[in-house]
Amino acid sequence: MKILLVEDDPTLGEAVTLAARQAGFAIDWARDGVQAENALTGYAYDAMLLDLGLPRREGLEVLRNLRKRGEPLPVMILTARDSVEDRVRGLDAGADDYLLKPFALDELLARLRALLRRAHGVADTLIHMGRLSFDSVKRQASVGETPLALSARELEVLEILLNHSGRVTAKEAIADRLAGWDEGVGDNAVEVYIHRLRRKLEGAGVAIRTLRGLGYLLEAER
Amino acid sequence: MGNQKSLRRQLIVRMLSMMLPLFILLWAIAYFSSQYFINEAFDRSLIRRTYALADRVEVLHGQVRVDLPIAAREMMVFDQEDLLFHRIVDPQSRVIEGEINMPPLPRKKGINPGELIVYDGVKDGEKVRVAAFALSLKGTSAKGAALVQVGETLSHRSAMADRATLAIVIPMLLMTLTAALAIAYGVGRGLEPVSRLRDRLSGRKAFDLSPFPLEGTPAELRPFLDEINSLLLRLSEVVEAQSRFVSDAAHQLRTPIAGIRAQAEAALASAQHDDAQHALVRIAQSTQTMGDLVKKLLILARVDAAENTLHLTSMDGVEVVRAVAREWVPQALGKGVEIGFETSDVDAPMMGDALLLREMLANLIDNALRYGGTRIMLTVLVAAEGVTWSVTDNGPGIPESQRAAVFAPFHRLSGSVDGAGLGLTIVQRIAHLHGAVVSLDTGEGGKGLAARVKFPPMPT
Repeated sequence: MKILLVEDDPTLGEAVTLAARQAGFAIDWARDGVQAENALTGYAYDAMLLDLGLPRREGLEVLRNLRKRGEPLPVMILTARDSVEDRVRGLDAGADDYLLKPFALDELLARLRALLRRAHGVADTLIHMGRLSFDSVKRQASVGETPLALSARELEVLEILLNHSGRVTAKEAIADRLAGWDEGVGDNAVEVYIHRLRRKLEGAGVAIRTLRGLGYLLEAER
Repeated sequence: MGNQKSLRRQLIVRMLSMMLPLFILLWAIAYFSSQYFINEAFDRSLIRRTYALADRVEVLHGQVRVDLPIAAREMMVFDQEDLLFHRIVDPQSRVIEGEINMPPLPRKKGINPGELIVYDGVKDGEKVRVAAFALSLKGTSAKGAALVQVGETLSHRSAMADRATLAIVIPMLLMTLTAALAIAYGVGRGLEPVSRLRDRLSGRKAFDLSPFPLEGTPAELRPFLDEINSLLLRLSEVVEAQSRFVSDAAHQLRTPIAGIRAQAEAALASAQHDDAQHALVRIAQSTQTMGDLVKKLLILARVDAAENTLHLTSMDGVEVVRAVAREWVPQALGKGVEIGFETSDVDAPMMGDALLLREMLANLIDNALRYGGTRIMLTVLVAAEGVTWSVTDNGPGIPESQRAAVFAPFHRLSGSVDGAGLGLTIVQRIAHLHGAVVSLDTGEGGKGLAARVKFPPMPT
């Protein structure tokens, strides 16, 4: 994977370059807008990390020119500007993600990977968490190699929780999803399914956490 | 109010101090002119009586004598109010009728025959008016002239003069008082626009620097308002420049901070030595704190800017709090803290700037995560007197004596290490923009901290 970093601050540029190489990326570093455009015409990159306040040519202009040429290159903006208007302007110009300075390198790399994954259209059909795996095509959940015996509705609830992993799933969202199966699913029904799932997921290394008034969150057990 | 009153008093005092000399002058003119005309009238009657008395003088065998009936004599002695007196002196200077004691003529050589004079004199210590007529005896058996004098005291005339004066002065006095009252009232009415203006000024928010609308204000106040407006304009330019500077400075800080942090993290991955590892961890932590500080400074600058352009829209308080709570759950769980949510109603209709209020709530949750315990409870209480949001934790809480101080910028509780000391300042500024009140209390069972934001009731 080859990345183009466009950043005029030498300290930050150096650190990002170093970290990206350690993480296994090939990376080129352009110090201003004009250098960036030259690099973009010379090489085929897989993604671009773009600072906005650049000498010689503004980052947003570089981005607009890129999109004008119809290039689908995934672009993540790295910026100090965080007002809503700034964000909207960046996304309007064709950015795919927006990361605010200062950031943790881990987060930068994680989001870069996610960006590349999305760009390559690799939709994971197999989701893993703890010892649990879920195949969304075969509609089968397993712990290790052992398939779990889940009803269609339980699978539905598990899938929505897995798709929201790391985020809170509202009770209403689950109820809405189940409404296609049952007539008028109440909060109580959701609680029943969650209870059954919890029992069947014992030993799978994952837990469904209840957050009072907010919903459920599926997490790997620590 | 004080200024308004004193302006009124000033106007009245000025008017009365101008009226007073005028009033004294008028009194004098009234007094002297009425005295003059009344004297003239009374003198005329005195003269008539003198001639009438002179008519009674006869000469018989060369002797001057008077034929005065008793009734006429009585009439010559007393009037309703005044003492009357008379005297007739023959050419030989013998008093043949009346009082011996009579104020002397004003002239030494006397008066010519046929002449009549009226003069002032004193009789028995009292001021009197006397008419003297030299009755020529030519054509009779006597020679020379007889002196006929008629006098009276002055009480009736001065009483008349006083009454005439009062008849002029009293209406004048009434008019003056009426004018004073009218002015007091008129000034009060005239100053109403000023007091309305004052009400509008005092009702302003501290950071409201928008110009005063000019319509409906009296022309006399326009220059004054124009000056205020131009001052407000200059002031808002200064405020704007200042908050732009803070914002620019904070933005400029972000890139170098990002550089230091990224360098420290990159070096950490390859550092061999424990001491170096430790130092790099601390550097990374410090830059994180610095980044947090910069972020909060930017929020404050944005809140300051919002004070002039705040746009409140109707929103659902329950939805906003619940959404923010959900967003924070993963980060809190990462720190081993559970977040819960409770509401007294399905929705909480309120007016607000949802973005700013989310920021406010985020700061309260951030504080609870930094300093609180293992549980954070967010609640929305919907009541007739307004919606209340609260963030409660089961941490150590804040001692009551320190609660007021924590709202000050850069204030940090003793023993706390990280944090910028701006979180509660941001919370309070945003709350104030919404007319809400922030209070700190102990949490459930007297433990932990409960931060409450009480919003004003919805306008109906």
